[in-house]
Amino acid sequence: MATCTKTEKWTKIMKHNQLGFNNFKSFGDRIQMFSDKPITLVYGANSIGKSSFLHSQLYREYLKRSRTIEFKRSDFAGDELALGGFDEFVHKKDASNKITFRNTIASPNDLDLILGNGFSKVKEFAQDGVINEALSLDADEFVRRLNNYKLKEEEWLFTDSLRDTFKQYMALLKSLRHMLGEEGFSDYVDNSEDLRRGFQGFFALFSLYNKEHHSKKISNEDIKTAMKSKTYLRERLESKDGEVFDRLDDILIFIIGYSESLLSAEVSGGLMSYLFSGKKSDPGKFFDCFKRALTHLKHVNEINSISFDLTHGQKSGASNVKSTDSVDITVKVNNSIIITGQLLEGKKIKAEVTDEGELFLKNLYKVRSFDDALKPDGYDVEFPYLGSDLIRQIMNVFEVQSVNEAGWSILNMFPRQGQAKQETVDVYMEVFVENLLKKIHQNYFNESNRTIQYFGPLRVYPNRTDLVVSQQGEIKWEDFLQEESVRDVFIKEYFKDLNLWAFKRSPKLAIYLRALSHIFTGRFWRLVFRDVSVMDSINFFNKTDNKIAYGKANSASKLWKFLVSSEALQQEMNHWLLDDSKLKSTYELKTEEITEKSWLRKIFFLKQKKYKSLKFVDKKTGTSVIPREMGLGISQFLPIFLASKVLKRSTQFIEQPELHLHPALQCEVADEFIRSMNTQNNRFFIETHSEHLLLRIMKRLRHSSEGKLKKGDDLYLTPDDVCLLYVDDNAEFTYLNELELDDDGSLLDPWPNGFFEEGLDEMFT
Amino acid sequence: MLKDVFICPQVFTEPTLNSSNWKDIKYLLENIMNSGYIVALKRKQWIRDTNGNISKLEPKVKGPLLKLIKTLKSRERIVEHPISESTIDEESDWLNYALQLNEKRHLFSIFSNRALESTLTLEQLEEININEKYGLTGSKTFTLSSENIEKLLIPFLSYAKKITIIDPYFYIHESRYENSLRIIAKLLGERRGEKQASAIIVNCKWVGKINNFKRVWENTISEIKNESGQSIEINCWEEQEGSIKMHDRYLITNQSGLVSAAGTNIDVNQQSEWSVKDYREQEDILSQYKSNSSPFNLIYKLSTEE
Repeated sequence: MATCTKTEKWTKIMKHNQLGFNNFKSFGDRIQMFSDKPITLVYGANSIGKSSFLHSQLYREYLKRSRTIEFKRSDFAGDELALGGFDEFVHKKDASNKITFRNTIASPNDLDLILGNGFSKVKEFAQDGVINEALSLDADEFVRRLNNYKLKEEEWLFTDSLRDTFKQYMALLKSLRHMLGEEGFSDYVDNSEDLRRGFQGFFALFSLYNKEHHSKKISNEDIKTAMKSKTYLRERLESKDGEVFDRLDDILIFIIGYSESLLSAEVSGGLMSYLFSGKKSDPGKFFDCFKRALTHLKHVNEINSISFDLTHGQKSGASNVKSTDSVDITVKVNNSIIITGQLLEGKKIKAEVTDEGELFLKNLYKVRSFDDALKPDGYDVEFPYLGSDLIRQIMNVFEVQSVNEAGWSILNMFPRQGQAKQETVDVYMEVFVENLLKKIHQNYFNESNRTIQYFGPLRVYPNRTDLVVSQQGEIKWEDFLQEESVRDVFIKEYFKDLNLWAFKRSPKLAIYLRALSHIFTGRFWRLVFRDVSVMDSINFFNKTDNKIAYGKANSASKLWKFLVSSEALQQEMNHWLLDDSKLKSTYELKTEEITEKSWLRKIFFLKQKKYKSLKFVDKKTGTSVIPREMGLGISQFLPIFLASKVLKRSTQFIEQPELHLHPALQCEVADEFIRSMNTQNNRFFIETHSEHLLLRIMKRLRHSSEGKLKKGDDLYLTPDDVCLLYVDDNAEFTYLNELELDDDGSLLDPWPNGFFEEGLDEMFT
Repeated sequence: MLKDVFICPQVFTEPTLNSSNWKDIKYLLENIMNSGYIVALKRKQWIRDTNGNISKLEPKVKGPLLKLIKTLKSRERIVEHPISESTIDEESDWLNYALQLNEKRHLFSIFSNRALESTLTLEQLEEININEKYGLTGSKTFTLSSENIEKLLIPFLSYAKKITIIDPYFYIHESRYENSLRIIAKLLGERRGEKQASAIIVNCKWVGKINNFKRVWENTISEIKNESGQSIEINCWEEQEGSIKMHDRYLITNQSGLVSAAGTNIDVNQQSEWSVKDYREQEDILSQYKSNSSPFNLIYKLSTEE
């Protein structure tokens, strides 16, 4: 079946959510879109804009966390990444240009969420007093209340109409019991996944049907409670075996207890028919209409590109915007603006639906007449009598996993006739806008969303103190200063790097500075020190550096402490350092315990404090070395390896991970990224020139498609995981060229200017 | 215009291949790189075996040949043909499979150390004008009949995984374009009967009248997808005032590209000149039909479901 766009100016039918940006450094006004996937690899010639791309995405992260559009230092990259003022990185350094970040939602799941399908809407709409209260109670109480529920006329009709069908199903049920035996039947009822799903399906339909009369909300917990009510269910099924149900509670229980594959769709169909047409309908016509309705909704889901832009510019002067810079929000459907808004203080959003948006939303949720829909229009529909085929079809059409979601989607198409049509649409619109804004907030302003880790082209070396932790955890600075032996070992080393005279001699001054740093961290740094290592020292003193983090805040050097504390990590690292297939170095990582020798503690018989220090020992000479003495390749790579192992649920931005690494190791690095993605839920933006890195990625794709790697394996990889970008330019502007990868790892688009064919040119030209 | 050849990995072994004749095979591979591809049967094993054999050759021979194999691989000029065997050990096995393929539809050439009626040896290659036989042989002009188009496209599409059609007037409500699309859908990924579903992307020029044919287009691509299994996408681009015009017609796959002077449609009353497009220019052409870099505006998009 074909899917057709219905509007002009469509950007792209997408398989993935897309991200976009414009007006950043060399990238001009045209918004550059790319797929939002866990691993993004960026290739391109030197000075073409690869780093600019990476920085643009870092800036996106920065804006989520910051109150200013200037980017001089950040809590996730410290001083390692300073883009400067807005004027310095906006396209053409023209501050009248505005930088827009776009997020386009293509995933049906995300769109379902926004459109309110699934449980989120159940929670919003399922407000029937009887149902909701009952669900919050135990199952017996739930049914008791249902027994007392006074049936409405159409519900009686519904029940009546299904009487014969129920008879058939009960006969099937009886057969099932006969076949499985009592025990098998009980197990089936207890364990069948179908039961749960069948219940969900009915619940969604029933709840929405009653929505106009409901006043209380239902929670997901309530739903879960009801779903677990299988004991009661079994009893009911057994006691009612073979009988014809004539009460709603019996029907409910029957539906709850029966398989989705046998019944749910049929019931849904019957229910729909009676609710919306008010009369018995020819089933063939019903399904005909149903199919068309589903097709329509499928179109709505597929063809509407919902995106939102966040545009950052210079001070807007708007009185209700208290941040120093303006952030305008635009929600678009197929490039038509439907919601406009502004970011307010506290990162709340004030939004308005535009006229165009109102029209769109009304169309989206337009009240359709079921009778109209029943009019034949040439569809030749085979009538699937049992609902099993139909419900599967529905689920396929909507690409949903549960009957519940399908139920919602269906009912969205058919608000009840004759009753508060406009209100229904308004409610939908309200929910749409609310959910959409929630989504924006969730994606863009949730500060605790993901840890960000940045690695510039030169990774920062750790200081001595980065390699030490107390046995109880983090090292205490006071302990350092009070304990002579520890101080001798570490502080002198630490201070020798500093270029300020006072640091060379006086720990007291350090304490004083620490106190100052609490008060003056930012200003102090700006006015007095320009030396990064000095700033590192101050941050070390500053206990609040997680909140006001400058200097080497969150830089790779922070990660070393994890290594000191974790033996497992040390083993992995040693494997990397020593193994012939890895770094093949002579350096071995060891930890050394240091016990303080405090005469004061001795006098008072206090336990001496212990510290753990990380050492790299050159096995050839037996001497211990620091990372910067180990060779550039090793010292540059280790932080990246550490981050991939230590961090979880982070987004890591890495410039040239292959720097100084042997080609074979570049392949191994790619594996570490994949492993980290799969096991630690990390995401990567990687700027690289490495052919080997890409070849390994392609190899893993191939292995996964061939079945050598199974879903769930650490190195399993599909094209859905990798966005391959080539930054290029034409005579007018710089652009991103996204290259498509096939399942087997081959490229479906020619590599611009040949695929790493420089070697060929060198050899043959 | 595109030649499908098979070369037994054992051809790359001494003494068959030596310092005096290695340039013949080098020229052959260079030509294939531009105007052909190797049907490798088991692609991965073929590459491994071939590279393994080349690695044993002397350095001056080894380096260039390995580089050529690598480039052929990256240009998707070494293709897989599904066969049941898990591994192939002997040259005779490789050859047998190649001959079986040859029976289904002729391969342009089969290279082997064994001289058979349907094979070529390196010795015989010495007698052949390689550039003339395997190189870019200039353009071809012929009537745009179904038969001619099919003949042209069989080797071009058989082992491709994706084709991008660029033709400003590729409007499939007109039978000449619909027929062309059907032929392409039939041949794409055909692999001598081992059909592989692939992707067809059509880029044409937006004109207002398309509005009248959307339903027809929708039904047509739906029908073709059902028949052929190919996913189809149609993009309609609007030219911008003062900017470049959509004019040229190309067929570009993940392996290669063809340019047609007059059109990509079926029309027995029309002739067109066809030639192979240089690999390195293909991405420049394709980038004009991607939203991030296109000089045109994408107005309308139609696609079959996944």
